[in-house]
Order: sequence, then C-alpha cells, then structure tokens
Amino acid sequence: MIMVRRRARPAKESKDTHGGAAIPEGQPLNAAAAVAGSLLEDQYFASPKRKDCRLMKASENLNLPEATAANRGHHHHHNHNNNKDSKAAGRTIGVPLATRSQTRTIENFFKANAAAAKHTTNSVATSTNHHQAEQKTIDATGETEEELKLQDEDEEQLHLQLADADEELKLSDEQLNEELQQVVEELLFDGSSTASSTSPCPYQHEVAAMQKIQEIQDIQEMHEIHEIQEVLGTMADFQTHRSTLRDSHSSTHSSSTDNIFLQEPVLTLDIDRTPTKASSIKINRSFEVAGGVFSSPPSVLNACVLNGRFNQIVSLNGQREEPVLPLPNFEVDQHDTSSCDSGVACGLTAATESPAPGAGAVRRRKPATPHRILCPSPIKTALKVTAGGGLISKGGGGGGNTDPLSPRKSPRKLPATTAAVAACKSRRRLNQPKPQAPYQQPQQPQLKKPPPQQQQQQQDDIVVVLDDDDEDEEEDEDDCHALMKAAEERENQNKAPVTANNSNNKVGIMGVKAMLKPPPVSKTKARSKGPAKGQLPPLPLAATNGNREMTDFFPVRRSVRKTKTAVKEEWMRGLEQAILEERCEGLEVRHFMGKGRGVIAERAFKRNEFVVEYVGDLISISEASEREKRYALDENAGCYMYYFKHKTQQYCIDATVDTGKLGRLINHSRNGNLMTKVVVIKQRPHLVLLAKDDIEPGEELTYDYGDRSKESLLHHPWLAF
Amino acid sequence: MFEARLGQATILKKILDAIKDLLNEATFDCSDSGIQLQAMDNSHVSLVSLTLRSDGFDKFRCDRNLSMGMNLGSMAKILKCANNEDNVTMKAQDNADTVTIMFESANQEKVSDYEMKLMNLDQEHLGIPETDFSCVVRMPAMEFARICRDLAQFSESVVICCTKEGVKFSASGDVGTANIKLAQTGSVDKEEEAVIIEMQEPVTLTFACRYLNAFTKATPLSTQVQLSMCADVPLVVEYAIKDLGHIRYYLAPKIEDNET
Repeated sequence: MIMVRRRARPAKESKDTHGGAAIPEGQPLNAAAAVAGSLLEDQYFASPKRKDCRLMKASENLNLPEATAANRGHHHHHNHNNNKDSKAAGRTIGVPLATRSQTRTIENFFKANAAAAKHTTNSVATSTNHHQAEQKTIDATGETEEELKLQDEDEEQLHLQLADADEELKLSDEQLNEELQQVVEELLFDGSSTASSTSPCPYQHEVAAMQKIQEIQDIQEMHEIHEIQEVLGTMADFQTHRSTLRDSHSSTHSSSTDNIFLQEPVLTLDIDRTPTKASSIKINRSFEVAGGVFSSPPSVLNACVLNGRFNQIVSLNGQREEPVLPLPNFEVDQHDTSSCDSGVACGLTAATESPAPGAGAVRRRKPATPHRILCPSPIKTALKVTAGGGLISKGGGGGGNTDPLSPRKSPRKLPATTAAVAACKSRRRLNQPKPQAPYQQPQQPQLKKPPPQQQQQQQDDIVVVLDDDDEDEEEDEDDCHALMKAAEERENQNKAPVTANNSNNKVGIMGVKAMLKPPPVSKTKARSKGPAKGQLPPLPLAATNGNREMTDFFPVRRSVRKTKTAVKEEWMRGLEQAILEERCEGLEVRHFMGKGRGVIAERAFKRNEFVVEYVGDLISISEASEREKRYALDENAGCYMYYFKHKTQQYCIDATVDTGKLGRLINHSRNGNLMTKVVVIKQRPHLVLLAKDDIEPGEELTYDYGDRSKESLLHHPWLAF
Repeated sequence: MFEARLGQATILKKILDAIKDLLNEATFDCSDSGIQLQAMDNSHVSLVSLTLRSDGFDKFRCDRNLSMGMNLGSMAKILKCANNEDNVTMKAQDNADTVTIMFESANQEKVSDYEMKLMNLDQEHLGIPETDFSCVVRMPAMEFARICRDLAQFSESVVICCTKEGVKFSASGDVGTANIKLAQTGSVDKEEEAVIIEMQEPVTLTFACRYLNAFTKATPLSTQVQLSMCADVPLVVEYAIKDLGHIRYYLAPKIEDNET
C-alpha cells in the first residue's frame, strides 16, 4: 500500500509539474517492468527512474507542450508504479525490467554521453543518468521538439557544464571516497547491523554529494533547462545507438568526462526522483549498474544490501562531501555535515542564482542526521531552492532540525537493543538499503557526472531516510510538508513523493510501532506480575474465577474511631436533638428534707451526657433586673433567674414560673454532678445541663448556681454548700 | 518502646517467606501479648493471620500497643542480610515511623542494624468468629505441599473431600484428572508423619490451587499442617510455629458449580 501511495503521489506530481518529462520515463519504466530479470531489472529500473527524473526536469525546463506533458505524466505514473513494484517486490525479487525502455534510455544516455563527451569531456560520467532520462523523454515526446529545445539548452548546458565540471571534479573525488566508503559499508551491512555505524559516513558523503549535485542541477535547470533539452535532442540522435550504448553506458558513465550533460539532466531528474522514492530507488540501482557495479548484474543484490546501508552511507557521504567541497560557503556548512552540499550549492548559486543557499540549507540538514536530515533536507532544499530565499531560510531551519537528528540516531540505536527495535531497524534498513545501494553505485561510477544523479539518488535516499525519520519523528515530515506546500511546482513534485513516502513511512512506522510496543508491554507486564507479586497476580484471577472473598465470611471490623471534631459535632447534634425534643428522660422529682424538691437520676448518665435543659424565658438583662425587682417582693419566689453570658452578651433565663420542666428544679451544690453549657439553636441560646461525671441511678442531680454574692448568701445560705 | 528479640533469625526469615508471596505489605500489631498480623491478599480471597506470642521471644517488651505497617518485600530484603544463627532484635519507639532490625552474630562480634521506614496502612481487619469445623485434618506439611504442587498441574482448583476413611484431593482439567487419597494412619509411630482426621461430618470443598500453593510457603515452619474445613466456610490452613505461635491461612472456597 505504501509503495502504491508513494508512486501515485509522485506520479501525479510529476505529471503536474514535469508532465512532459514523465512520459519518456514512463515508457522505459514500463519496459523495465515487463522485463523480469531481477538484478538487471533492478539496475534498469534505477536507470529508468533516473531517466524519468531527468526527463521530467528536462521537459519542464524545455517547456514541452501540454500534450507531451500529459503523455509524460502517464508515463511517470507507469514509471512510478514500476518503481514501486520494483521497490516492493523488486527489492527482494528483482523488478521485471522493461529492458527495452530502459535499454533505450540507457542508449540514449550513452549517446548523450558521447555527445556530451564531444561537447565536454568532463560531463560524461554524469551524463549516464541524464542520458537515460533524456532518452526516455525523447522517446516519449516528439524527439524533434526536444531536440529543438535541447539545442538551446545545450548551449546553456555547455556554460553550466563548465562550471559544473569543476564541481563535478570535486564531487567525483568525493564520490570516489564515498564509493569506497559505501563498499566498506556494504560489506559491513552484509556482515551485521553494526556495520551501519560505519556506513553512515559514506552515506553522508554521498548524500552531501547528492545534495550538491541536486543543487547544481537545480541551478542548471533554472538557467539551463534549455541546455538539457538540447542534450535530449542529442540523446534522441543517439537513441538509434541506444542498445549498444546501454552496455557501454556503464563504462562511459564511469568515465566522468560526460558529467556536464549528465549533471544538467540529473538536476531535473533529481526533482522528479525526489517526489517518487520508488523511482529513486530504481534509479539508484541503475546507477549502480552504470557504475562499477554495472558490470556485474549480481550487483543488484549488493545494491539491495547496500540500499539498507545506503541510508547510513548517505549520511556519511554528506559528511564527507562537506570536506570535499572547496567552496567557502560549503565549508561553513560542512561543520553541519551538510557543508559539502551547501558548498556546492553556494558555488552553483554564485554561478547561477539564489537556489544555492536553499540547497546549502538542505545539505546542512542532511548531514546533521543522515536519515532525518536527508529526507527532509532534500525535499526542503529542492523546494527551497526553487522557492527562493524564504524557502532557503526554512531549509536552514530544517538544517537546524537535522542537527537534532543526531539524537534520532541514538534513539534508533537504542531501539536496536530490543527485539522490537531490531525489527524496526530491519524494516528501516530494508527501506533504506534499496535507495542507498543505487546511490552508492551510481556515485562511484559517475563520479562528477553522477553527482546530479547521486543528488537525485540522495533525494530518494533522503526520502527513505524520511521514512525512518517519520517513524522517529512525524513532525519533521510535517515540516517538510509545510515547506513543500510553500514550494512551487518542483516543490509539489517533491511533496508528492514525500507525502507518499511519509504515508508509506507512517504505515511502516505504525507497523514498527505496533511491533515495538507489544514487546515492551509484555516485558512490563511480565516484570510487574512476575517478580513483584509472583503468585499474587494469578491469585486475583482465581478470585475472579468464581472464588469467594474472605469478606463474604468474616465481617470487616470497622474502626469506631472518630476525629475529635467529628465526635464533638456528633455530640452537639445530640444536644440539639435533645433540646428540640425537650428530653427529660430518666429523671425523677423527689422531695428533700430542708431544700424542697430536687431531681434524682433514674438511670445512669455518662459523662458529658445531656441530662436536661434549663427551660425558661430568655430575657435581656434589663428585663431580668425588672423581673428580679418584682420577684424580690415575693419571698416565696425561689431563685430561678439564670444569668449567663454568651458571645459577649449577657442573657438571663427566667424559670421562676413553674412550667413543670425539670431543669428548674435541680438543686445547688458547689460540687454538683452537672454542668451547664450554652447551646445555640436557631440563633437562640439554650442552657443545657450535662453530666459532669458518670452519674449512677438514684443520685441527686445538682450543679453549682455560681452565685457567691454576700447578699445571695445572706438570703440563701444553702448556696454556700 | 517496643523491643522483641529472637534467638534465631531463621524463624523470622521463614515467617517472612511464608507471607510475602501473598501480601505486599502488612501491619504488625504489637501488644503486650505479642505480635499479630492479619491481612488479606489483594484479591481478598485469602487471609493470613500470624500470631507470635510474647513468651516465645527471648525478650519482649511492648510498653504501648504499636501498629507497624511494613512493606514485606523490604522486610524480606533486610532479613536476607541476617545469618540464620544470628540473634534478631526488632525495636521501635512508641511513635516512631521507623523500625530498627538488628542482627547480632552468635559470638557478638558482628552487629548489624537496619532501619526500615514504616507505612501507614489502611487495611481492613476482619473479625474471625470461632467455628466448629466439620473436619480437621492434620498431615505432614511436606505432603500437603507436594499434593498442592502436583494437583496444580492439572487444574486451577482442587477439590478436597474429607470422609471418615480419609481425605481425598482431586483435580481435573484438560490433561485429565488427578486424585490423591490419604488415609488416616493407624499407628502413630511418628507424629510428624501422621495423618489424623477428626470428622464430625463429611465435607467436600473446592479451593484455588494457587492460593494453596502460596500457603505451602510456610512449610519450612512446621512439620505438620492442619486443615480445618466446614461447609461454606473458609478453609483454615494452620502451621504451628514451635514455641512461638502459629500462622493461619484462610481461603474462601470457590463457588461450586459441581456441587449440585
């Protein structure tokens, strides 16, 4: 599914932007698809992709007629599909190559290379890919139109090629280094995952080189599209010789003289390729074939292996490229690891225009973290380059992101520790390796010329990297998408592949995540259950399995303890309740000799227990004084005025009137067994008599009236007791 | 001030081993009469009741009742630091949030003490009523452990059927069925190896093997195990701790579909 999505998106993009170029590519691709040879097919596919890319770019540059564009678009779709198929099945199996189309393209490339060689010896190496692309385009579209355009372009290309030649020379050196690294890496990859660590360096170099090449290509495309067209025209001429050229192409490509031609087409190709990862992968394979690998079809297998490594290699290449690039700007970028690309871009920009800085930014991004950086950076760079300074700035931001990529690497390594991680890595590797292999191979053979191709490949690799990155961080992808949106047609093209890649990546990521997640979860579960509880965890299960619980048989002892406040609140509620009920239970009125009526307890009262309320009229002090004067006239009136103070206010409860309530009948004792307490109910204070201590049944209830005045004592001598 | 001293750390080690698989943490209730622990496992299917009498300790002092919530895993770790022959002393202040466990070698040349944080555990305490069990089976602890281990291979649950003739443990699962019958030993030459059944009326109950296997972790504490059963009442598996007390496991019976 992923592959399909990628292909479809890139194809669409290519149609929209580079419709003309697509057609030629599609034809070769279809042919390649038809062919079943796995190794050869892979190589061919790689080449067709490259060709397609190149063709697309060329077509765009040439401004081919709409009809041709539409045709190209269809071809692109086919190509993409083929590429996808080749990626999906082809990686393992070997894509059935449309040998015819591929061969044609190759021949065209060779022819182009030859022409390029004639024009400029340096461009030969780069021409292989370009030639193929050009040939494809030529085949698809009217060769005549292309030729016309190509002628114009050829002139431009010559100029560009001159500038590029120098760059290509540098790149070729870098590529050689990268190729060596890649080979080492491939070996390492074959051996074990650990090899990947080494491989990154070559990858980076390659990536950087690719980026540089791409930048150069972009620049060339911008200025020299016409030249490409011219080359295409020449390619068309050569097409007759394609078959022979195909075989020779690898060798011719290996010769770096044709680089200029190749580079220009490569630039266009790069754009197309970036959009379609699958195509890029195929191209890479073809590059490999073209390069030293070409001689040995089995190299495809190596390429596959390499592909996995390629991602790493790409990162490594980017690093290496940085040093290789002589450009001052590049040197600055090199610190970032993408300096090489940036340097190339700078050089190109100096020669051409603004796109260089964007490329530099892209390059920077790539170096920082091979996978992440590469994927986003290429797309971003291409977009940025096309878009201009603003885009470039974004690319720089992307570059900043790439720096974080290093952390990404570490996380990847970390996951490797776990089996799930390993699985993820294996997937990543699988995805990456395919693109990588092509990159490596093409870079080596093409040298200077390959750089553009390499750039394209790098873009593809980058895309692959993005997949990895996506797994690691989807945000980067989003950023890329945003950049893509901002970018123009090229950007759109790039976006389509990127999105496809992202979708693929996401799917892959999802799978990877799923893979990753389950193991850790199981581990955690095992840990928690196994060591901690041991038997306990199963126990609950048993309980759930129809086992009864102990609480079904034994009552839980609930603590009766209550906090002080809770106890007090409860007690107060009890008092209020008693007052409202006018409770007077367990009391009995009895006559005592010498003091009249009194109250005894019929039952035991516990300490602080409510006994009875002192019921009477609540009156103010002034009212009390008046009543007291009145009562003073009546000697039979007892002492029933209870004065108390509550909340700073003096109250009096007058119980002189015999209401039958028992509270007023309780006698005085300075050592009574009751105490009074004020309880406020509904804003009205009540006087309550509580048991000061535990009271036994039959005890007389008494409390201290508290009146110590001499006058009272004089009239009521019993107050003294 | 709480202080309890045991002559041999191995006993405490065995006690911890016997309960730490069922309980993650538990509260040791220390009083003048000794140390008690009661806790249910997480699933509330089983209950552990540990009683260590104060007179079983070499030295025991408990001025105020003290509840020490302990993480049993941590406690077991500390006890691993003790040699079997070491004297072990547990000490705690009245309102302390830590307990000190001290190990002294027999010759007093090595003294190591460990301080462990206490926990405030909010655990439910169950009131266990006195029960007249229909069947009480005493059998060698090793034999019971072996039976539980063997039957656990066949089924999650084991049926214990106790009759006058003897006690039958049976399990049936996908593999097949397993039955182990133990008859009451006629002549009691060795009390340790005797199977003694006191039965008022026959009982058949089903229990979860996992819990029974957890109970058998206490096997090192005692040569004999006592199973007390009564219909619709939890099984009591009691291991006596010589001179010190006992550890009782209560296991709720499974809800029996087969009973009908």
